[in-house]
Amino acid sequence: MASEPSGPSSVQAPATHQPPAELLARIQGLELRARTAVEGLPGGSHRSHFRGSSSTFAEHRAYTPGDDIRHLDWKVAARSDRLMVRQFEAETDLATTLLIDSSASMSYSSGGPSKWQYATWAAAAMGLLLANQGDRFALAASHEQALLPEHKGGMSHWRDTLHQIARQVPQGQGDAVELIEQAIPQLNGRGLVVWISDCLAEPASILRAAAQLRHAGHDLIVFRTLDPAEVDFNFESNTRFDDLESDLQLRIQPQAVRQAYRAAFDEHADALRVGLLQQGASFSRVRTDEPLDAILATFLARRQARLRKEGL
Amino acid sequence: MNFARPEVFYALPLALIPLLIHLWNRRRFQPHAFAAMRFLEEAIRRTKRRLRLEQLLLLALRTLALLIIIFVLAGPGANAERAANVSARSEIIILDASLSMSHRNEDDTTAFQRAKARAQSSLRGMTTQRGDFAALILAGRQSLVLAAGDPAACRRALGDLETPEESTVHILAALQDIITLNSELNLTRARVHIYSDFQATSWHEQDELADVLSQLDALGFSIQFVNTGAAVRPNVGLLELSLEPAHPSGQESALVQIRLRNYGESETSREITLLLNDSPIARHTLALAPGSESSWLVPIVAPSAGQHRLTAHIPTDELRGDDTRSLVLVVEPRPQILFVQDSASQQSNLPAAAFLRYLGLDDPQSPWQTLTQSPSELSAIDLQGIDICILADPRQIPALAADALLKYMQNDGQLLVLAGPQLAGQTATTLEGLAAELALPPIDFQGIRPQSDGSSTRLHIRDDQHPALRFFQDERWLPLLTEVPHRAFRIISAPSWNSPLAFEDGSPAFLEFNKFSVLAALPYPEWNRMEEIPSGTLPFVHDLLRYLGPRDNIQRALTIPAVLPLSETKQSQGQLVSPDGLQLDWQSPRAVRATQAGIWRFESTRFLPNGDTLKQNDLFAVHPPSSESDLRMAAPERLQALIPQSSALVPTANSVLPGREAQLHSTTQSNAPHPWPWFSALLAILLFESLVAYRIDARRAA
Repeated sequence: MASEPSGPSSVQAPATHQPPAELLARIQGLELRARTAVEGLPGGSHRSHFRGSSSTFAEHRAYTPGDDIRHLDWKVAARSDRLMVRQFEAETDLATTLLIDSSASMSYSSGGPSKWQYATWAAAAMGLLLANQGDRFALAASHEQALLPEHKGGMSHWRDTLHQIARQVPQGQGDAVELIEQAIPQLNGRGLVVWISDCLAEPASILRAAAQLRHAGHDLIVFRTLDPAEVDFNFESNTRFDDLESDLQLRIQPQAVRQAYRAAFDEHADALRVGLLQQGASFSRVRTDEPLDAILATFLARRQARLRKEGL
Repeated sequence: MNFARPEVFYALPLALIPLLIHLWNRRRFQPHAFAAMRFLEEAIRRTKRRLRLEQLLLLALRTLALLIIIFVLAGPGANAERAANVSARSEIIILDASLSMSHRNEDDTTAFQRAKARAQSSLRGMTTQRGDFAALILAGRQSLVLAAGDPAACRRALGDLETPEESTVHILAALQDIITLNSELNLTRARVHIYSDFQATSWHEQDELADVLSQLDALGFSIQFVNTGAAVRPNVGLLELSLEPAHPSGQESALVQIRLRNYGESETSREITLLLNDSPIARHTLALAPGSESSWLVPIVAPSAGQHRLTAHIPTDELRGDDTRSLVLVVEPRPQILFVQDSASQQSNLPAAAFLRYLGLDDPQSPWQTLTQSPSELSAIDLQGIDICILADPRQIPALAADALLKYMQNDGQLLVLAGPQLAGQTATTLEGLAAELALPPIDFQGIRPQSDGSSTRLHIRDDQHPALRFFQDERWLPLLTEVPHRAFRIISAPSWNSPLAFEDGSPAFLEFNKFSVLAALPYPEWNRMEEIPSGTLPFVHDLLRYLGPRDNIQRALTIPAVLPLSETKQSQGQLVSPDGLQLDWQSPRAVRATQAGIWRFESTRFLPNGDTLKQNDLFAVHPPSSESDLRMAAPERLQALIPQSSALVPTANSVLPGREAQLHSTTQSNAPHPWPWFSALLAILLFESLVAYRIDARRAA
């Protein structure tokens, strides 16, 4: 029998948003690479759509008149009598936008860390990765925040971001999708958007927002953060469920509705997962009782493998 | 439909218990802040209809189960004939209140308690508004009409009844009381319910009972015999506690006999505890075969003079009233015997010393204190305090001695004349004068003579119940009468002299009138052929002396409901204390019946002429009638023989009527029909409910 979640969730997230040192050490060696090339400042470690003069070989193509003969690959011409031009990848830095859902539902915890805590840890970890790579990033955690912060790089910006997270408290019943829709017009050029949310909104609205991001050329990674009690619904005794975002109260015998709850949950999750994958977004569901570093490592490794497979 | 206990329907609100529990549980929800409410709302929307159906089904099943329980307890279908007749009815209850009704069943209820419950059931629903009549008669040692008229008063009186008396049942008087009630109130067509254990020893007045029942039958009464006794009635009764001798002297050995009887059908044993003045003095375990008696004989040494409580008890069993028995042990001070014999008699017959030795009177352990004196010196001593004066074959009694003897006799002294040959013609005039002075019937001492031929004859007992001759009730000592020849004397006396012992030729051998006794059959040494007898002397004379000596003549062992012999204590007033400590002021000639087993104490104060007061305590041991220990039930055919053929008998589950013998031993059945169909329905519903609940749980678990 699954253990019953203990007590009501803590609405206030703990003040310690600093990721554990061990976590940072384990993920520091990983590189976050965007699946698609983005435009940006040269000198970064992310590939651009444009073939440039970097030292990283990209591909051969047939010579056409007008090409710079400096790019001819003489060794290939000598072996095959074919004129081939060497193309090099133009490296750019990666503008990453971290969007954290800060609605009141994120404060839910059935005993372990709340979803908000877990989300902020993940965001901080990714911010550190990006800062170490010299990439620019910005973090937004409230749909009430009218302007998206400027994308910057460096450790000082990362620390500023941590401070920003620490000041944030999950509250309100705002639609998390609203945050994305607010951010889209402010995103210049194509970049990486990481959205950390419990994704409890209607799948259609989430997918609509995701489609807008993809249409604007952004790569989207969705971390769906969930409490184990929300997944398993392993309550036993009669419970009055109070909505964190409204005055709604439901008196329920959990055993009686557990099956139906899980079915509704799975249907929602499937719709979300399939829709996002169809749009080319990355989707990962994480539970707050699972190690954060392992999830990030698994996600990044899977993403790298996918990039290699696509030959990007 | 009719119900045996319609008041059970007052419990109908209990059927709301499942609903209340459901509502109560709805209140007991633990609050929990939650985020994924959309899935909960969706789950509720999907399961609402099914959950409501499940809850309604379980609620309905549980409520139905409770309703069936209430329905069964109400006794559906009972007393249909009673409900059919909604007009006024008359019910007369007779409760057997004898000791045997306190016998306990396996469920620790007594037959009397079961009878009370059945009687309450019979009176249920009766009201004075409808003109109902009810009467309650308690049949104990006498018949008591506790209530007659108002059914509510009957029910109250019934509720107040406690443990039955420790007496027999007087069922005949109870039935006669009904006839009396009928003559006063005209109770035609009333129903008579007799609740009893139908103990065989109580239902033996066949003819009288049959007569009264016939009268009731002729008056139109219907009669119901309801057996509330246990099906199996094992019991071990302590039937006897006796002492031999009944009134020993201080430090005299006595033999206590305790007799038990096993009325059960299996072998058992009981540990007997004997207590003297509430202190245990002996214990013994007796094995008892089924239906057999067994006795325990235990010697004791009599304590100091006075009245003592001797109690025997065995561990309590199903019938507690006969597990203890008490006895008042009256220890007399050693009587003083003055043995008077003149020198001539000593020379010619038996010397006093030898005689005393033969009688064992010179033994320091003897229960008597013995003095010897010659007749000539009799006037010189104070006879006050002498309990028995023995004149042994007196040749001569001086005038002064005769005067002293006369004064002694007038002061309630006891005189025993051992008539021997020296008596003949010598002092007869003096003895006759003494008898005349004492206004005794004529006795011819002139005629005291040995038979002329000097031959011997044998003795024979005319009154074998005479206390002085109880010795011969033991067959071992009969040879003393039939084999030992004895020198016969001829004594002429008026018929009013009592002569319980005679010679074969009819001459009296032992004569008595008041305190004057004559023993013609002298206890010569040749009598003593019973060397094995303790003290080696003549036990018959021992019994005679014990009989003649001062003795407690008050009957101190009584069977309920005997009248306590308070007047015999020579008191006119005092205070009586029952075994359970209740005090009652008594004044002569009020009669008080002993209704409780145990030791009753009578405390009185006597005011002496010299102004002193003398406090006196008298004890009486009261025990229940032994017949109550035998719990066996009377044969149904014997009871049936009592019932007039035309009598309108009411059949019931526990009726002892013919054709219902199979139910005779069922003591705890109610009036209601067999409840198994209802219990089966209840079981089915509970099983169905469990199945539904299991399926629901299983689905939830999946």
